[in-house]
Amino acid sequence: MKPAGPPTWTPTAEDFFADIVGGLAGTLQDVAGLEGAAGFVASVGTELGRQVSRAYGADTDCSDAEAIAAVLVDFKRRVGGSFQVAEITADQIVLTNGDCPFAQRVEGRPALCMMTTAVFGRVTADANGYARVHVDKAIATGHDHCRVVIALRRDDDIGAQGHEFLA
Amino acid sequence: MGTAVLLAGFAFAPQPVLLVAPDGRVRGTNRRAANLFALDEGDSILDIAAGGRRAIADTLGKAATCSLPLPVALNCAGRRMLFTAWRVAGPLSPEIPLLVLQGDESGRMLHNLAAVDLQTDPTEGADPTWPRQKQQDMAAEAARLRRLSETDHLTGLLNARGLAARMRRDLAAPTAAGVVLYADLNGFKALNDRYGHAAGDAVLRAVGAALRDVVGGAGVAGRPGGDEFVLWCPGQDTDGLARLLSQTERAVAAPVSWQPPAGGARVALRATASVGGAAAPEDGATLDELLAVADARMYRCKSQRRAG
Repeated sequence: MKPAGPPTWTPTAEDFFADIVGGLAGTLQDVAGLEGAAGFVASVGTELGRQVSRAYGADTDCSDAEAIAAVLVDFKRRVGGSFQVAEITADQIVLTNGDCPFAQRVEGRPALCMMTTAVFGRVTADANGYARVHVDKAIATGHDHCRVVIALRRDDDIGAQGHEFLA
Repeated sequence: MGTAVLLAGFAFAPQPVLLVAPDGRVRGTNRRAANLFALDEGDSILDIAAGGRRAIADTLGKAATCSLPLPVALNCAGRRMLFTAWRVAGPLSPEIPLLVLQGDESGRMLHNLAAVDLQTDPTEGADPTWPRQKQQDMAAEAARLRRLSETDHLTGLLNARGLAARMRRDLAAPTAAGVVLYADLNGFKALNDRYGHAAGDAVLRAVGAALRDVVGGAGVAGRPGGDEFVLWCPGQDTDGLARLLSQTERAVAAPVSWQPPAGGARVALRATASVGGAAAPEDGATLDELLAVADARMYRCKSQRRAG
């Protein structure tokens, strides 16, 4: 055997696991379709959202939109995202993000956006009693940033965009 | 009221549909589901969960508190069937949340996976709602990945996996015949040490190209690893083996003109090989038997070369 030379790929542990998750999501999306893949990702994201709620006490201590937004921004910062508050009103929270924790792995794999949707939705609903999360713009779908709108009040309009979460 | 209206809507759906409460109790089924599952109203689908009671109870709990369609798996006559569960919203389910479990995605996923199986027609059995071009693209991608997994990237020859697959396939016939040659370069480590790995790689590429020419269309050449090469020519006999042995030794010995990447004068790199051969069925009938004989003869050749 030829002696092993220096490797040409030396990922960090974070890169490696992000590659695994990105690859799994991409394969799932290719095989099961976007909706099928999103369901699997959402199931994991909902569970993670529960853990985030418990970890931050968001299910008991968060009483207003600013506190909820602070939890979401801090959590994303800790996992490599850089969400910022673009708008907070009594009706909604709007967050924007210039770089995704999955980096370029997310491009063409919008199923991964369901992770953010589910985590944000679960945390907000645990704190507020209700949330509807709509990823308005996404790096995964070719935008240069992500824009996530979290509605805090129920809207009976059947055409309202996004996924609903209840406490 | 809500359950009856919902069931009426799903009554003749081709997919099995179950209406369940968040605790898994069945509130109703459509005809297809009734044929597949012996479930009465009040029975629990936790009893037929494919992934365990706790896992499906957890998923139903999640589905009851969001509008996301979430995947769950049920056992149906010993087979795993995938369903999508989603919460019914609005006036049809005013009091307690109801969940719809629709068994559709299982067939779609399995058929889509079948479409990339190279042993079958890539379009046969595939979900007809998938565009034909998409099915063909996936089959082509699967074929490309298989070729990559069986190719030695330095020489473009078959790797150990590809060689074994090809030889086993050819040797599977009851009257299979053929010859295998095992070639190991002499002094390759010294060449690497003196000129560097770039020179060694150039020699391996040149030897690979020369051996591909030796077998031509009569067989395949491979590099199972390092400085070892294998030729496999199905249908050849012992006369063919002797001819291939001498052709292989000559082909390997052709000088390789190489210039160091940093520049400087070109160098004529020369390699030789110790070669052993075996013929089927005389020396063995299986891949392992033939390679063992060829390997032993190659080492005998190498020992004789060192001795004198």
